[in-house]
Amino acid sequence: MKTFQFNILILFILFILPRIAYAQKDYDSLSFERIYLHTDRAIYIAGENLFYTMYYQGNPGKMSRYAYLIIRDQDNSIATNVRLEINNQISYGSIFLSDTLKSGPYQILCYTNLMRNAEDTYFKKDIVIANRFDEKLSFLSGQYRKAEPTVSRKKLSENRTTHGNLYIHLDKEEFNPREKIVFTVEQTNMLDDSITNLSISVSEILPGYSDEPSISDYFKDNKELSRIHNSSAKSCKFVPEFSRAVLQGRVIAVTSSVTKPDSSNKYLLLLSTPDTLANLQFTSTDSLGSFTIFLDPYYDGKELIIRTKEQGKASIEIDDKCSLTQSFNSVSPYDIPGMREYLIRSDKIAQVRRYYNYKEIIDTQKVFLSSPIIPAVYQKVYSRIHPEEYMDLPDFVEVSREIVPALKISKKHENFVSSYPSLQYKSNSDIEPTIFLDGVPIDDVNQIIHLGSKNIKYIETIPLIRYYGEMSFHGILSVISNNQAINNIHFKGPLIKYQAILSQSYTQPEAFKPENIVNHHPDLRQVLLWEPACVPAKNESKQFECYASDLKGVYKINIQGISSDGSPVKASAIITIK
Amino acid sequence: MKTRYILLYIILLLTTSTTIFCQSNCICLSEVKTTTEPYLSGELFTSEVSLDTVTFFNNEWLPGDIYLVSGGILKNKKIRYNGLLDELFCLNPLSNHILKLDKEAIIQFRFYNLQGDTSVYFKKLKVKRSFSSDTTEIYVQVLFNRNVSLYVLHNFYLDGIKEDRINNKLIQKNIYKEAPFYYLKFLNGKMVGFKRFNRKTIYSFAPERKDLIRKFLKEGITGRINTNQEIIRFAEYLSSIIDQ
Repeated sequence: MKTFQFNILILFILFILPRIAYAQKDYDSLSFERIYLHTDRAIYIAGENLFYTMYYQGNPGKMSRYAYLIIRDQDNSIATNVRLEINNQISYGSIFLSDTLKSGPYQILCYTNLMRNAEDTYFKKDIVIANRFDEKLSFLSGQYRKAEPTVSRKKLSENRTTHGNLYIHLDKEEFNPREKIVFTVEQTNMLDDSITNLSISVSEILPGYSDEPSISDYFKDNKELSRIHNSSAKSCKFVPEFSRAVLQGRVIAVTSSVTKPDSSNKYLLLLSTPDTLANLQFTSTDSLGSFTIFLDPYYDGKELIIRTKEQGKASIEIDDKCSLTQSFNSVSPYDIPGMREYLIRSDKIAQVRRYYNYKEIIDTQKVFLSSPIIPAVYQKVYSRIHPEEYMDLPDFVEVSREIVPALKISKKHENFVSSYPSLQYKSNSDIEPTIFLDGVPIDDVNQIIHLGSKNIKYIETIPLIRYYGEMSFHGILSVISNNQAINNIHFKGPLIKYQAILSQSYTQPEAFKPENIVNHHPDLRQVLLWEPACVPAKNESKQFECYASDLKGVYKINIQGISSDGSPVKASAIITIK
Repeated sequence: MKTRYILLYIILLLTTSTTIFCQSNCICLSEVKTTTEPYLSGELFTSEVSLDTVTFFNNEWLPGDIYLVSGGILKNKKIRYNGLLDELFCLNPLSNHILKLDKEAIIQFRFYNLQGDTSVYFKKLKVKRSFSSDTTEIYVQVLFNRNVSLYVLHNFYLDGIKEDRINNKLIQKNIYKEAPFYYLKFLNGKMVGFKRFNRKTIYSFAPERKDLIRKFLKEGITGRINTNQEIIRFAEYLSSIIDQ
């Protein structure tokens, strides 16, 4: 009996316990994220705005703050790339499609930095953009010169019946030009969850084009995405951005003109931006030269100077968040019946709208600016010297000698060295102070030795041993130049300039009012309504209204949304303007 | 029978070790660095005359959190507050150097455990002090924080000079005495500073509730407000009557 019990115990230890441990780890390993993008339509003319609402699903408590949206063409060239700020699991805004874009199919990709570990998990949506001046539209094969109304009608009848867990109440399905369209959205089969956001588009469609999955279809497919994620992502190369944007990259040492990582070398990476205050973020690379730095929000939208403290031949590579390994692979076929006619018509509409000087007014709801709190190396100004208040001095040797107390500059073997002789620890007084020029740390005093008092706005001097995180400074000298002298400095080590990006503003088009259009002018809107972020009251039906334009055609009411527990909601209906 | 068990154990061991091995290929967010600790800035503190231990709020280096103006939190730092200098010090665990932290960067700091009390925290306050025409930033201990907030500045003054003989050398030592200075802040932003809780001062906080305050003092054990406990109890009472 005892042997039996012992065996059971051994079985438990060997079999059950590791499984418990595995289950614990597996929960983390399934930390995948998903994104769905609802756009106002699927066909655009270059020079128009693309409006979007992005929906995000992630693990509660571990949600990414940023997403990236890129639009690429067939040749995988990036037409535009923006950063989106996720708030309450959504983000919305608009992207101006440059009027120089060539005609063709384009693909919108949207993802978080964590999703970059498995490119298959990216949200992908195909759109078609036509250039106003492109009359040939050669990207279309020409196989379908004329629309086949029978096919379109069949598709249309299928579409009319599409409903999700929301219900659209429409009094009628056919409207006259400029008639008021009123519809009510009712929540059906919704349990206790309230809807946190709905995005509504009423826009003209080309029947048969871009029947992409709805938010429900996309978010429902958990298992498939999870499988893709776990099979593709063998390691977390790209880290999640829960609170701050991440900057990842590598310092590559150059040895004997052959570029290869030097396993023995670790680097201290310094990151700052030209400013009137000495600012700094730093990190150490691993033995392969790789680094990860979570950017202070102050650096958003600023030009960063990233360099190593160590001197020598090396190069810095910054990870490009827009780099794609998978090439353009169309999700929805674009060469369909009626596409050519639709594009030609849309081109003409765009031209006529230009003629009537119709401009889409965009409302900016929220702007994301960089943080005003600077990661300043020192907070208190100990001593500030304005050289203009003194006699003109030709170079920094003279400037330091005459007007900068405590700083000593001497010449050693053709080079100048600086020091603060009376620091707290006198034994360390030979160590050079850290010099900042226009807020950026430089190698040594030789780089500013040519600056005379005419070139300098002011100097801040701190003859103290100071600490900033794990870094210590044997005195700090901060020189602010009159003419951005930092741009002319040649550093002894590798350096890269990097433009940090700001998040897109939350924008939406100004609601159309019939009284704003001049009576004899045509109303040529193809998008009758775009409501990117609407929060209906719990279990209440919400009424929407818009006005039919003068453009006769088939329009789709497309509603996508998300509930408080992250479950997707959707509804759609087809209307016709006759 | 035994061989059977041994075989079974081997199979199970192989299965479980594979399971464990496979795990290393998965993404484990808990192992990924997802944020950077904010930087603590300050200057190396070296004083020619060592600071009198009396002037320190906490004699020993105690672990605590430092909340920065930037919104960052530095956790589990060894900190010590000196009332005489009104400065927060931090011990660098690597170099054992003492850092005088930049007051401009700090918004508040909390001690994890000060003699069993886990609620002790200080915040930075902008006040106008009698000796200066400009407003200055000071660290105050938060004693009570509701619709009435009570803060105390652990102030010291020079009470005299004592001569001491250390290693046959006669040295002069300053004697400091604590002179706490209290600040009472009301919801409307009004703030009053005072040295003592005498009746005149107390009545001035809420002149319209003078009778109630008098009654509270009479019902108190000592009828005075001297100890920290009495002070907090009074702040609680004041908060309740102002709320009415």
